[in-house]
Amino acid sequence: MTVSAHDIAALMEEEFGLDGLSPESPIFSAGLLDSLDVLRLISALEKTYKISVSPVSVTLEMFDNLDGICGVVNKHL
Amino acid sequence: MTISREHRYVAAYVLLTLLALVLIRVSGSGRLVEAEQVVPDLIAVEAGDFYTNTFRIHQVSPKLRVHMEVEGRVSVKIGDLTKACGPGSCERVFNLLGARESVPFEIFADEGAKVRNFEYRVVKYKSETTLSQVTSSAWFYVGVLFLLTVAINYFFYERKTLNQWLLIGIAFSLLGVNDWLFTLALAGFLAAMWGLRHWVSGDARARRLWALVLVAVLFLLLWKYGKETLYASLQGTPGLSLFMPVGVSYFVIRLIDTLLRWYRKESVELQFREFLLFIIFPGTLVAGPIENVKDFFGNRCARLDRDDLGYGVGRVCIGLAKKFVIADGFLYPGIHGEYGGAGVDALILGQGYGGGLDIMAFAVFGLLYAYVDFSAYSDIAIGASRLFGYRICENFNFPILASNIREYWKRWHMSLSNWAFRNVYFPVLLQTRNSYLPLYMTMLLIGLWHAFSFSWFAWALHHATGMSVVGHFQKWFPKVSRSKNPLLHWGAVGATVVYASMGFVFVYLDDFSVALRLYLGYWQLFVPFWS
Repeated sequence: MTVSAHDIAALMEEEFGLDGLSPESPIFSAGLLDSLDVLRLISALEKTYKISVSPVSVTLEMFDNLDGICGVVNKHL
Repeated sequence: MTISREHRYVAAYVLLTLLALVLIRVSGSGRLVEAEQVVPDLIAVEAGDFYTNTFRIHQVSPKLRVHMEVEGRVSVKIGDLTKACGPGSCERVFNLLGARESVPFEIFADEGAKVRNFEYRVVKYKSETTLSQVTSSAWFYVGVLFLLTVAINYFFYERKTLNQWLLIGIAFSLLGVNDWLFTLALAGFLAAMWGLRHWVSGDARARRLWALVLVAVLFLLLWKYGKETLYASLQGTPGLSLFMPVGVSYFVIRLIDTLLRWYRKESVELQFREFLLFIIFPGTLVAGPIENVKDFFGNRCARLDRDDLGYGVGRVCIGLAKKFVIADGFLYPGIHGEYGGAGVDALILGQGYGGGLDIMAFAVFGLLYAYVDFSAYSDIAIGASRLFGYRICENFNFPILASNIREYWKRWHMSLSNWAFRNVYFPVLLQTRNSYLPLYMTMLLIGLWHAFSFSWFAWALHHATGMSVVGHFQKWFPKVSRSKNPLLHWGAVGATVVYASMGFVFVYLDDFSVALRLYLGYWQLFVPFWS
């Protein structure tokens, strides 16, 4: 199974009400979410895709756009 | 209530840190000033005679607090400073300027006198910043070396390999002149770390990563606090220095960032030359900013043109003007009460000051001094780096205009904040899934990176608690915290400066008992019923 940017976009809309995100549009660096929201995002990803994100292997920059989030999820699947 | 495994780790970390601090305190290590011979309990000085001894000092410009019981009248001379003491209990503060390893002290009397219980404590290890202590001949040699390096670098800039080895050579020469043994140890240590980059690279190698991070921290602790012990058997060997090696804290922090990148399989293809240059880059050798390896090489100028040289020279000049005119010329006297207030030396002695307002005057001037002084160093580093062809990240963004302490930390020493966010806050946040524990752990690490002392421990708690309270406030009162009312905004800016200056008391004073007394005295301004 591979997760696509489209899947992540749907999750972002459901969890944070963010719609119309393109695969490369910045999320955290643009201030749409802050560093504490990343906890909610990771919990949602872990619950949806049954993964466990390793703390040292990721950085906030990796969650800054849909493509990056896809990369993190696919790496942990 | 059940405590999760992650919370136990955090609690264990805090307790172990406290325990280590207590052990260091009890064992007396880290004491950077000591008398060559034991000072007797009773010193009898005949008329016209004197008692003499020598302080061994391995720190630049320490501030000493001296206490004694005097029968008769004596004068105490430490280095070039002489202070008189009348009959009874006598306390004086001595600011010893310069980087001398031994300073003679004398007690003399015109008429016969007795001195009992002569005691001394270091209240501040470094009362002057390094640049203020540079002599005119050192300025000349450093200036000539710098200009030569810029000129050679400019003409060979297109030949990247040669250019980078030149900068590495300059950095190692500067370190080697100061202490050749440390320089050799550093070169070997960095070569070993680079050799192990593939060994830590990969998600399944977390234990190896933590082992190397621990080795890096031990390297830092060894050279920062164990140098006197390490060099004890090498006394008299030329070319060694007992002072803390220049820039060692910054080398280690850059190395840890790179180790974590290697673990994430980033920057693994870094050449040895590039790795060395990144860690000991001469432009940021002394006091940062703390770049990350990706941006460091990503922001290297493709060509070095006149605009870069103009920008570099201008930025260095701005830094020098800020340092010598604003920081040293205007703000430094404010710390010593020259514009009002008792001044820090009277506050240390606890005599003749009116209370919280005096502490506030010292602390606010001190915070502003620290800001202008450090941002001046950053300007010089950024300017010098541009002259070498590297665009280095900014370190400050007017933190004294921040409207809360969280925002203050996004504007103060930004390269360190970003490092701490990447390498401590974010991983701990993911590990503990708690929003406050990472804050405390991050601030504790930043504090103890500055100095392994109770004062920096208390500083970390002060700032982490401030940020936690602001976080709650923003959650509970979102309308107030987002208000555009100018009165509210500037009131919040003032309150932030005051709160940050409270923490500065711990930054300035390495003697924790004095720092805590002044910190609590400062709070009494705002909580008057608390005494």
